[in-house]
Amino acid sequence: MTANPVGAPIDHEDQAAIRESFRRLLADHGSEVAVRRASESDTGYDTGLWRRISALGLAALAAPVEHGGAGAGPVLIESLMEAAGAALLCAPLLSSGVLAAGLLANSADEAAKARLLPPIASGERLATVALTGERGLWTPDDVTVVAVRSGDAWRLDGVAAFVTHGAQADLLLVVARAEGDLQTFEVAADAAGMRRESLKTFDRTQPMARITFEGAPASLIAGAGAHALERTLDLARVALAGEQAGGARRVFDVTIDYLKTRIQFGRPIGGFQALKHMAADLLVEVESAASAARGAAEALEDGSAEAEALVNLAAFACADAFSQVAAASVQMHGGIAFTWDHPAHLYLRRARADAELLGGSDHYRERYLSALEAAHV
Amino acid sequence: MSDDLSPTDVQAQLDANAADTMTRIFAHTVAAFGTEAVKQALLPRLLAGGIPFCLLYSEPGAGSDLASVRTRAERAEGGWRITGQKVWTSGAQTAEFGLLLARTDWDAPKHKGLSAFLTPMRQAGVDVRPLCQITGERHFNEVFIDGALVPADHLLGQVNEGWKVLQSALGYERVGMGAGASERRPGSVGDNRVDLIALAHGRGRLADPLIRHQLAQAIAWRQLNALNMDRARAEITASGASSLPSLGKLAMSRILHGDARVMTAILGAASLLDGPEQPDAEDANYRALHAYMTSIGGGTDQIQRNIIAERILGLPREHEADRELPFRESRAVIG
Repeated sequence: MTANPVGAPIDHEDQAAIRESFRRLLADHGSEVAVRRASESDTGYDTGLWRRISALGLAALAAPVEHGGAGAGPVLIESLMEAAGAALLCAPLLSSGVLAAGLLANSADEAAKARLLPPIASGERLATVALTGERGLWTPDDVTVVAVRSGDAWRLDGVAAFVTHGAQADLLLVVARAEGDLQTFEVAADAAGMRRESLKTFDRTQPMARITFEGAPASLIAGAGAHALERTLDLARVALAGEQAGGARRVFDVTIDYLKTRIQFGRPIGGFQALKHMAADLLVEVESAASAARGAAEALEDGSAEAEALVNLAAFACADAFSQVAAASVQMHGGIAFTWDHPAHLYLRRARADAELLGGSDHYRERYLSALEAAHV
Repeated sequence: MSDDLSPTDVQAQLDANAADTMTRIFAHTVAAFGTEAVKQALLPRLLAGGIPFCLLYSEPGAGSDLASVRTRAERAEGGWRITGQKVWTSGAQTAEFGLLLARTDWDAPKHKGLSAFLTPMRQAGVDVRPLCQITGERHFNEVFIDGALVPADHLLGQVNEGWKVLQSALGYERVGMGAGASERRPGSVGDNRVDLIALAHGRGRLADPLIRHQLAQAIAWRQLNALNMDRARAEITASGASSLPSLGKLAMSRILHGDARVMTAILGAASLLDGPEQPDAEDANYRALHAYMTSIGGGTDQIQRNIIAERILGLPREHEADRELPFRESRAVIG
């Protein structure tokens, strides 16, 4: 089993160059104003920025270079997602770049890779993965779409919920129960028997859809079952942890700057211990989140025996850290952060959404303990 | 010779000898601030790791506010006479020297009237009394000093510049504590010092979801700190500096208190008992008390938060009512 479905690792200097280009792109085109505009737009994401990300070669982040992907492993993906989280990127990097491209890369279906990955990489097609039911647990048990075979053809029935960029996607990879096992199916955006309902989301930067299948025609992606799905989810967990670590650090930095400039009682409020002590405790969370996300990415990239525990640790530690830091940020700013125009609530919304996406903290805390127990026995 | 030893040279020799934190503090301080005579006499022995010594900083009236020390040093025949009381001194019974902070100018502001001395401990006028701690152990001492003599050449640094010496020594102590906090990353709980999962399993509590939640969190805190320290080492290797070790002590406080809390939760009513017949309870109860050594000792968590906020985050310094006053007018003196 290869540790890296995307081929040879990108060397250190090239990774640094990619990170720098992405960071600069977000600095130039991913401002808060742009994020707000995109999140309120009809498309629900920043199509212009997504084109630029595609032009940088990062749209199919987790896909191999031979199919036009970025060939990024967990470490590079994590670091790019830190930058994306810091900027509250309003584009389908996780949906299309990590989940969909990653699931195809992890599949055994060479024909599907050759056919589907290049248009995902060029940004011509936006892809996403529908992989949880209405309970929103992101576990195998929670998959409620059923695939039925008739001859060589498959049809899907059931509901997929919380599908990120589900209404925007040109290509849907749908995880379904097929003859007892989980399998992945390709469904065209205009497939008959599929109804996509765009959902109003709490985090306006992360559009979601509920998708109902009633005999929708689907094609099986070979070798994209439970194992490939779990590998893809691990990658997505690390990516999301990176996004959370990056978001936590940015909203923390914004808060510290405010503490230095906001004057009350004749002095900067950052001089009050009530706030200094909160800040010191939050710094522990911010740094721990970064260490957890990066540690998990490294372990996954190395195929280390610790990877399972570390990915689960990152999943809840980063979720909790971002939630805590973003919530405290609003409180520490005071009234100004209770306004719509202040960015603090954008981070709070993203933090709360990210903390549920792919499964909640308690779920991952339990998985972490189980992984430690398994290692312990 | 010894006066040519740079901090890097001292560090290299200490590393080569795998010196402990106390030896490191003392060697760096003597190398940086000792007189030529003291360096000649002590450095070779110190670098070989051979001098027991103690830190005479804290006093009953100068804990978090260390610059308020009231132990006095007065010029006398042959050097300085010291009078005062120190506390929380580990190793005082066996120490040959104490690194002592004393006031030499009562008319200067608090930080500017202090001097640091290398005090010979084995003399009349130095009375060491063990202090019984909340755990029942006697690790620390009180040190009563009544006219003890310090030879003139045992002054460290300049007269009235003892705060600088102390800051340097504390810096080396914190580096040591950061390193102490950096345990190997636990791949399984097997290398946690407290094997919480085994305890929960042994007590039949491992299936309890509330216990599982607490267990996971306690183990996670320890592993997150280990990951932070891994990053600190990588940052120091790459750029020579890292702010992460400063977070280690605060993180370790919550780890140790957290371990004790989850052990107690696992034991339940069994933690009412104590003693060698009840080793699990004794262990949990001991840890619950001993954790305060980390959250109070070496700067309380609250002082540590001030330091992080001020030195790492650049937030404004704490107001200090007596910072600019002649020390004799401070409430530390007049009450």
